[in-house]
Amino acid sequence: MGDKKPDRSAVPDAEIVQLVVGGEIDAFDELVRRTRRPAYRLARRITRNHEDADDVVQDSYVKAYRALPRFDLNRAFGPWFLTIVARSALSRIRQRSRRATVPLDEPGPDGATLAERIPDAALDVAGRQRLMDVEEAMAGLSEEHRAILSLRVDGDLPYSEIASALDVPVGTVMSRLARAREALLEEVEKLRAARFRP
Amino acid sequence: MSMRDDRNHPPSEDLFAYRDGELGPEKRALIEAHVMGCSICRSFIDQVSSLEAELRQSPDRAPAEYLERLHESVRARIAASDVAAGAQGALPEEAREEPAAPGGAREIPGRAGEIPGRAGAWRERERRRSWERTGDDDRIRDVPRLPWAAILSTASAAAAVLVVVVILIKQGIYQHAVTPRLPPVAMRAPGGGMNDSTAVAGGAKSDVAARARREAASGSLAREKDLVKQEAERRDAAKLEANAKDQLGERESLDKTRVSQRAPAQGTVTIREEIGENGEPPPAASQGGEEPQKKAANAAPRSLADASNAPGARYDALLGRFGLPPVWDGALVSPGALERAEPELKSLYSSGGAGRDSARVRLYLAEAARLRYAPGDSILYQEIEGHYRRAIELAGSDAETARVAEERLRTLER
Repeated sequence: MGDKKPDRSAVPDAEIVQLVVGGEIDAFDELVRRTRRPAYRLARRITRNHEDADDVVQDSYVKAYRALPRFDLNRAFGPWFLTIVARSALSRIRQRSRRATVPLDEPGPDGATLAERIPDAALDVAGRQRLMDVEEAMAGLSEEHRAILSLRVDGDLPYSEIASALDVPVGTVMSRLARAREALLEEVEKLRAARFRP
Repeated sequence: MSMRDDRNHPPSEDLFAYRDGELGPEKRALIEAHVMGCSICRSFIDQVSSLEAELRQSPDRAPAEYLERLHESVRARIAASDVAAGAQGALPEEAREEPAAPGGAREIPGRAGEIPGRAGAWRERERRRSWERTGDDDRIRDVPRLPWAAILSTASAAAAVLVVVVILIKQGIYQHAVTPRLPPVAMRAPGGGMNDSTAVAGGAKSDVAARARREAASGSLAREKDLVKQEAERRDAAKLEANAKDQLGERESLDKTRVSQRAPAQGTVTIREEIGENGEPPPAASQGGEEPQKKAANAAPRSLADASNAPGARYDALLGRFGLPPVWDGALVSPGALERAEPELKSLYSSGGAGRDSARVRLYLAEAARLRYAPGDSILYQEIEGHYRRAIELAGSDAETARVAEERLRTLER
């Protein structure tokens, strides 16, 4: 009840994993704390809605927890976990076959839209617009392109991890990522061109 | 981009891989040399980098309170999964794979009374939290917290029971199970309305029926499945016994005559006693102490076979070649001898030459397989278990073989 949890914020991932595998389930909290934000962000970007993202992240933690005994201690937990999140998110959107039908500015868990969450002082009008453009362009990409860009941009994963998450060769990651980036650039240019058209 | 459609520029994947630091040293040097001198490629990389920077800058949609709630839900699910894993015992990892929770993943773990200790505390905390949340501007749907896992598992268990019951009814095992137990025919006094040739199969049958009744009473699903399997095997055993009966021919009728001459008041007699009457003193305790039985079985078990050309002679000859006792005995059988004898025992059995020694051969085969057994080898385990069970069924009135096989099966199950 009144038990004080030890501060494990400075403990390396591998040691925490060993603690959890050794039976200290509470140590898993630290792994969750370290990864929950990027995990939600990645899941949200791929699934494009809060409900799915929330389910995906929770499911992913349960899967990761179960897979911990097989976790390679030489790896970092974060990237490994994000590959689980990405796989779960992709599987979720394939199940629902929703593709790009969710409005861009769907409210987040607190009900605030994307535009509402950009702090007034953070960006000028042009900056806010640029940000909205790129978000809209991202939302308009194919599921395949959005997923790989999210893994690279939000997950900050190296190509090898992306390949593992998507279950494709590294060569495919290189070419698919390049196509996704080109598509994003094209979409943004289209949006901006449309705005300046009289 | 169109400006880059020139063959003089490297492909965009190489440019991005260069920027991402994913190229090997040689290619990296090559691309770097190009980018340094090509403003079009530099501009292209810069444009994409700037878009990605904007994406990273995009405001986080997950406020801290939400992340805390998410964390709590994860804790609860982990605790639930841990409890479930504990409840499932040593099931393999794959078997514990939890299906995605329907309609999201927020069910409170377990059911009342199911979660002991720490998991119970998790549940309690989760309950309190839901109370605390009342009145909160909670935009996350607060779905009814149905114990989906519990509902699904109960439903699937019920379905499994139903299927097994249907199978059992089809197999007629319940009829066996509820039939009042008759004393094993081979153990009854002669003149009881059944001849000895049916006594062997009948004894096995009534043993199985008795076991079925015990198992049915225990209500164990797994055991009921076993019984279905055993029942099927029993039929095979009966066929085998019928063959053995044919082969034994005249000897059996001689035995029958001798048995029928015994006084009913004497109570129980075994086939071995009958054999004993054929010229050798019967074992001292045919229905009691196991040691005398064992000694008798190992000391002079084949008296009748020796005196005839029955298939038992082949078994005896085989055992003689490898220096093995008539019934497997851990103290007397060396692993090497058993290993060497195994192929011949198998061939004897599969050729049908084992006859009335089938049970003993199966016992030997179980022990031979057991020499190779390592924990976790489920296929071999099933093979060994199958040999023992068959040995028990085929043993009929060969109490010694049945006893050893049962004992060994118990140690295997342990």
